[in-house]
Amino acid sequence: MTNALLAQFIPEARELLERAGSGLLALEKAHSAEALDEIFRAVHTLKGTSGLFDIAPLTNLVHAAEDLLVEVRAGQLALEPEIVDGLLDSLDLVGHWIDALETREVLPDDAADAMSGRVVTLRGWLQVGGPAAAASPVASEAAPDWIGALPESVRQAAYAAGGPLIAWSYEPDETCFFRGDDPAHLVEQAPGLLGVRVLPRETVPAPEFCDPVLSWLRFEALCAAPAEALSEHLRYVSDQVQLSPITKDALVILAGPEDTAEVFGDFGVRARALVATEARAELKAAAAALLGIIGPATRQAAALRWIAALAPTADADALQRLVAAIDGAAPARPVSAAMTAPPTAAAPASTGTDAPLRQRAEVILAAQAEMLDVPVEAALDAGRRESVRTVALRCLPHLAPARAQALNAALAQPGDAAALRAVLREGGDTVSAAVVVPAPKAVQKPAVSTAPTVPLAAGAPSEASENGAGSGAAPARMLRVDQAKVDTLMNFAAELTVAKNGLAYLAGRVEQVSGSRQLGREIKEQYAVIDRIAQSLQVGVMAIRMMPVSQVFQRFPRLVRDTMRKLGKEAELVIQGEDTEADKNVLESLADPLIHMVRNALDHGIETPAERLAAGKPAQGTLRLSARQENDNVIIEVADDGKGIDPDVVRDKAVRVGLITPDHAAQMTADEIVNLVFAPGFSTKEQVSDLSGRGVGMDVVRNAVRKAGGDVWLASRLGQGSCVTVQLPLTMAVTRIVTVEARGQQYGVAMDAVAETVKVPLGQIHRIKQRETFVLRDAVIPLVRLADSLGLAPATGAPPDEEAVMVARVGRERIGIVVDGFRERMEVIVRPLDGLLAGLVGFSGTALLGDGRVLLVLNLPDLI
Amino acid sequence: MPLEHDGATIRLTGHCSVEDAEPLLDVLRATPDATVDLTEAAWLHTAVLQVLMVATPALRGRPDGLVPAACLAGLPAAEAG
Repeated sequence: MTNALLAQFIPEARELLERAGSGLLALEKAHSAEALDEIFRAVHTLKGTSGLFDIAPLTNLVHAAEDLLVEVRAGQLALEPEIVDGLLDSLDLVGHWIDALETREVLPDDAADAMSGRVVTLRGWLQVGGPAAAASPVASEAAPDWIGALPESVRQAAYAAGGPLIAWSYEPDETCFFRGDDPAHLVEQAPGLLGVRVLPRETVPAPEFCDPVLSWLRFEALCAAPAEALSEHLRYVSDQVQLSPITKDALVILAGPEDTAEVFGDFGVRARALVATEARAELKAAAAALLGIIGPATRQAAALRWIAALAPTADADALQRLVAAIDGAAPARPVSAAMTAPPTAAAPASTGTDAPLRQRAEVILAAQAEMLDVPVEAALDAGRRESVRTVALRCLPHLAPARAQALNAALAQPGDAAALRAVLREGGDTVSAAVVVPAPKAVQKPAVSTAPTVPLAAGAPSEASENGAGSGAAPARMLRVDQAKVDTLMNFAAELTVAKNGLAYLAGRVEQVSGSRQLGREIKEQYAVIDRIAQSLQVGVMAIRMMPVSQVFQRFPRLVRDTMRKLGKEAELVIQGEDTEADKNVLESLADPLIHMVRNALDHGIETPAERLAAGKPAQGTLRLSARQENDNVIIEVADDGKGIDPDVVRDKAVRVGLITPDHAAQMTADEIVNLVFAPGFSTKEQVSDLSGRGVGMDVVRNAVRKAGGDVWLASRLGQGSCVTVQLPLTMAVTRIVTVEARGQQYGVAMDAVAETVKVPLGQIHRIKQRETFVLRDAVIPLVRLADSLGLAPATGAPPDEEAVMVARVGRERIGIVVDGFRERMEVIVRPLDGLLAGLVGFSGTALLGDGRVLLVLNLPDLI
Repeated sequence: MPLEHDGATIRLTGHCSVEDAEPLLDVLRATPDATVDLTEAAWLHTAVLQVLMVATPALRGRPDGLVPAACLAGLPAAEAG
């Protein structure tokens, strides 16, 4: 690739796509804000970086996906499975384009068309889902807690304005001025802007240290506009903005200290009557009159102002709630206040028995008590007491009823600071201990730092563990290396192994030619040293190529999900042993067969929910993917708890298509019969489906696995499920072989396949029909003559008295291979046949011998 | 030039952009008790608003718009004249 930037972009894009894809799947299972943020960040970054290249369709598509995610994140769009499908499909398309970019550096010609179709679909959801979701109560749940800080007049105006309301906050990032942003202008121009609050993100910097080109503001605004219009307006800063559609009731936030005057009770009675009789003008007048005689700072005064402002327009329910907030919230009945108070940002949580919130409230109260302990001047004390009172009042709805009552009583006597302190402290000791000790991680950080009763020792370890987790979670230092480079290194290591083998020959020749055994021995010693180093090198390089099987497994959650949706079945995917490592090539060779097996299990194995329930199983099936290491092999199992394979059906089919004779079938065990599904041309599913069962079924799987030097077999119990087991060598790099001779030629055979070698007297070789066999320990073993299989010239001279037979395992069967003789064992690197030789049947590859000759390595299954 | 400095009065006129923020901050640092006249200012860039929020000079006149009003609400008004 000539464009270095593009070369860098491609792996990064793939990683981002991967992250977004797995995030979407996680999100579909359980809604989590972090997962959503993760997806959003990935898509957003992808959009940003893709803008560097001339690939507009890709950028547009990702942008559409991002817009959709913005809506989802703002809670305006529910993440329906269709939307997840659409997003995943779009990500797939982007993945294809990335592939095209890698090979050709341009997008496919049809990219623009494909893109426009997808974008229309994605944007369609945006328009349909937006308003519909905004009307739903779920969307308006998350009213931000800063709404109360907006001036009351603004909120009252917004209430009266009606229509969709959006509360949004915007924290321009520090360097936004450099990009030419003018956040204030952006906010000012927002559609339907009703009110805005501007505050420093932290503290206002001192003039001496202020950097005029860095932004440090936060905007909190209220708009009466459809969510789409606003997100369109803010599309370029969408990552810095939090949009929350709110209902107008969320605007009614009554803050301020309680006023316990009796007059409110009278007002409440009168106001209810006025509301009931729809005498709005009189209600307004009554509220205004009462406002004139009470202090403006109390909660009741706020409610009265709301009544006065809303009396002409608001519906009766809202007014009733406000009235209830005035007289029902009198300090003597704090619980009913919490129940009847209009829904504010904090109140909804209080209606449930929300234990964590209660604990947090206690922690806050304890902090207040601590604050009161600090001695200050009398002038400051009044203000401090007032603030403690306010805090305590806010905590009231979240406390246990008995405790709230006690606290309320203490608050009613503003002069008695000591009593208040005692009450504040009361619940703090027990609760803060309960909060901190069992699960330090669950405690919010501010709670830890403000809770006075937490011993320092308890705080410190939790802090330390947080730090520890932080450094542990830091990404491991990785080096991204082109696989070709590692492969080159591997080849050198392999050549070193071969060259090293040459030394052993050399030692032999030195002894022969010069007759110096001393020199030969020295060469052999040197050989031993190089041998050790070469082996270490090989192990090291191979370790680089080792990858966890999770690399292969990670695509399955998606596959299972998609397949299940297509088939209308339900299955849970359980993945075990994903840390098991194997050579990259082995894993890659495994990927396709595994997909095939998983699809088979889902398509043919797991039943529909109705069938499952009828069979007395849970409606949701289980598909288990597990990997483990056994000696030099990786064992991968795909197990389902579906209907299993019926041996009778398999037997009938096998006989019908002529795979086996009826006689043969009668002799086979059920286990052997189910393994017939691996035979070429066998597919039990009569109906050809889109997913699997295209008549190429499991034999493809077996071929692929055997090509990689492994084996596959199946175990099944009718009605209980099937399990396909794949066994693969850990690494394909180095193969131990034994050389055999036929007609003067040497051939290699992988040691793994060789069970034993025996000499069989000619008299013990029997001919059954066309096939020669012999009996080995009471088992009949078929014989194959290697020379005949390879089409070598017939032997000259008399046949020997006994034949050298290599008993090899092919699959799970044993077979005897007649050779002329056995030579030596060695470790070689088997290179696959390529070029003109690629189609050659009977050989799995070539290996270079120590003396420079090329050895052909036999592929035994081909010979039978 | 939207920034005019006349004794203790700093006059911002027209459209003040991000480039005006730094000179304004310099002037305000040099004359801590300055009055800033905004009567002829059409729009203040966020950076300029920030500088005013930091330096808290007395203001004459307020620019239009909810956002500048919200930013500058806490700043004292200069006496008439």
